[in-house]
Amino acid sequence: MNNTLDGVKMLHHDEMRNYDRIQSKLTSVIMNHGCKIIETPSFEDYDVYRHFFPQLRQEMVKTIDTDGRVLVLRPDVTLPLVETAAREFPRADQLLKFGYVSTVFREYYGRSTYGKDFLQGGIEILGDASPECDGEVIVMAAEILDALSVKHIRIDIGTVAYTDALFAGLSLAEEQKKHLRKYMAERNLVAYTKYLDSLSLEGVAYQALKAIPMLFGSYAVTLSKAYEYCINKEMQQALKRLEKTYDYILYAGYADKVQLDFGFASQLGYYTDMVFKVYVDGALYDVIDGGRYDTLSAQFGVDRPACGFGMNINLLYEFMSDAGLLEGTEPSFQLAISYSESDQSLIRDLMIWRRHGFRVAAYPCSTFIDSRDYSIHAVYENGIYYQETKQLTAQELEEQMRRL
Amino acid sequence: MSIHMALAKGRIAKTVMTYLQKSGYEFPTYSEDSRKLIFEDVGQTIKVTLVKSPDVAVYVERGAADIGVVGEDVLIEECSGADVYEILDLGIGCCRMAVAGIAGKKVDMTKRITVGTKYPRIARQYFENNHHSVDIIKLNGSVELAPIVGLSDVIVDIVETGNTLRANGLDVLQYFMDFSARMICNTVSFKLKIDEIQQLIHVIKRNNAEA
Repeated sequence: MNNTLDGVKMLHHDEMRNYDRIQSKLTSVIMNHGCKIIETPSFEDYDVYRHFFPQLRQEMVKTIDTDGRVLVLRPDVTLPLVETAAREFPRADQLLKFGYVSTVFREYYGRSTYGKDFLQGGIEILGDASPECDGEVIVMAAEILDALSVKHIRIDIGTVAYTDALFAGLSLAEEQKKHLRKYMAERNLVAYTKYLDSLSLEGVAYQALKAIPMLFGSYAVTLSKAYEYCINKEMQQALKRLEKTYDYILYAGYADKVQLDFGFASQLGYYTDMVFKVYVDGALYDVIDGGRYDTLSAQFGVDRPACGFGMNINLLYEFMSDAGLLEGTEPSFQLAISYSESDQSLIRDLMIWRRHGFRVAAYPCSTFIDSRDYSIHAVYENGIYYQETKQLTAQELEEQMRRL
Repeated sequence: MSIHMALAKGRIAKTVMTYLQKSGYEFPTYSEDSRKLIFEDVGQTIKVTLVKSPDVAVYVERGAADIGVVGEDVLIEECSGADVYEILDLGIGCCRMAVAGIAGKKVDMTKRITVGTKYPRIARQYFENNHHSVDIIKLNGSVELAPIVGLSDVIVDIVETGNTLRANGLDVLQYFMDFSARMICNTVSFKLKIDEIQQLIHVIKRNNAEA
């Protein structure tokens, strides 16, 4: 019987080693920012997710608990994290910084990869509503990619508060706003323009709506255009806030990576202010996305602002692999010994080598060992090591390993 | 930066290629009946791939192509969940979706009826919106046969001239949707290559105006 499932695969040694490297660089960056590393449960309540993220209803992997309750395999990290924080740290003004690397059970597509689950790394900062906090979140994302030698990145920042304020100032029926926002979020320019033109809007509001889906590009130019489209104080405040965030990024040294995009519109009202995505050179998908979501925690009883991001490590891996940024395979054995007969002296040598930190093992001569699996090979016979016909002592083999 | 475009094979590809050639893009290896599937212009600014229409959105969504041109009918029927931006109505490749039945025979729409179609999603949507109960039979071609051989009460299909329907003794009962070709765009290319994309949109609009 064969496994014919798509999107599931075993990770091999070299892949695991590279994933480990990515993870350890990520955790080191976020711990330097004072984040505590956490892991949320593998199982979550389906009903809770259906309530908060109805759009994930079909996408989530469901399973049934022993008592008949429907569970889902961790579809995201943010929701359980915010819920737990609200329960265990009820002081609304308490600063909480969390980071994680966890498998998330949702489908993802890269250019040539597909999986039913992926490794997600990310952070959430709770309890800090400042624009500087937004800046720190974005900078952390940039630092992680920096640490991984991913140099050509582009950070697109937007603000949902700006579009929210625009929509709040429109004299349109809720139903009409809903349609517009849907098309805007999907960037369905054909349907959006058609629908917009069918409404009787004029003046700056109309110009703003017409421009927003295409309002992206370099920081200074895009920002000044965005100011021209302000129809109320709230829109201006959203931009002022964005400027403060930008300043933080500027002082941190990442301003040259930043562009603005006011077309990021959230249909679901999850994000409340800053939103951002990070693109890496040559890859046609975003590897990091995040933003500010100040109203989620209140739904768990603690009104606490929050900001964070998630990074699809599998997608990043695909990019790094294409870009030649991953490290090559190292043989699993530094030294492999083939013996005709094992004895006390061989086993003692092996133990000493391992204590000295070397990766070594011995096998009967009849066992096939792939030459890609070791750096050095030797034969053991009657207390003596041989390479070809040359006799060697255990110390000489250790010396060879040291020189690798 | 060069831009990669996936075109739905057939009418759409032919029209768009003509537009590009008229606007000065030279594709030395392209001819209408060539079997080659990938072409690059002399200036190496556009790469064109010809693919089967339901695959256009797959290419674009996954970033194997930056933009694509494909019929709206295909987008709705086969690619409804694709995460791509729809950025231009090309106004070409227009067609209409219709319900058709045997000429002169009344269909009792108050009962559950059987519908033969290549477009089960579009058909179901239409009948649901109009509160009819239907069973849908998905067919892959020669849909006109279905009512004649008693496989279905009506069909839902694209009607261009109506000649095929008439030749098989069918009549349009209701036209219900118009389609045209759409340009779709990868969500990241949209930003990284916006200048090239706008240049292409300009070319297409100008050719449309001239046509």
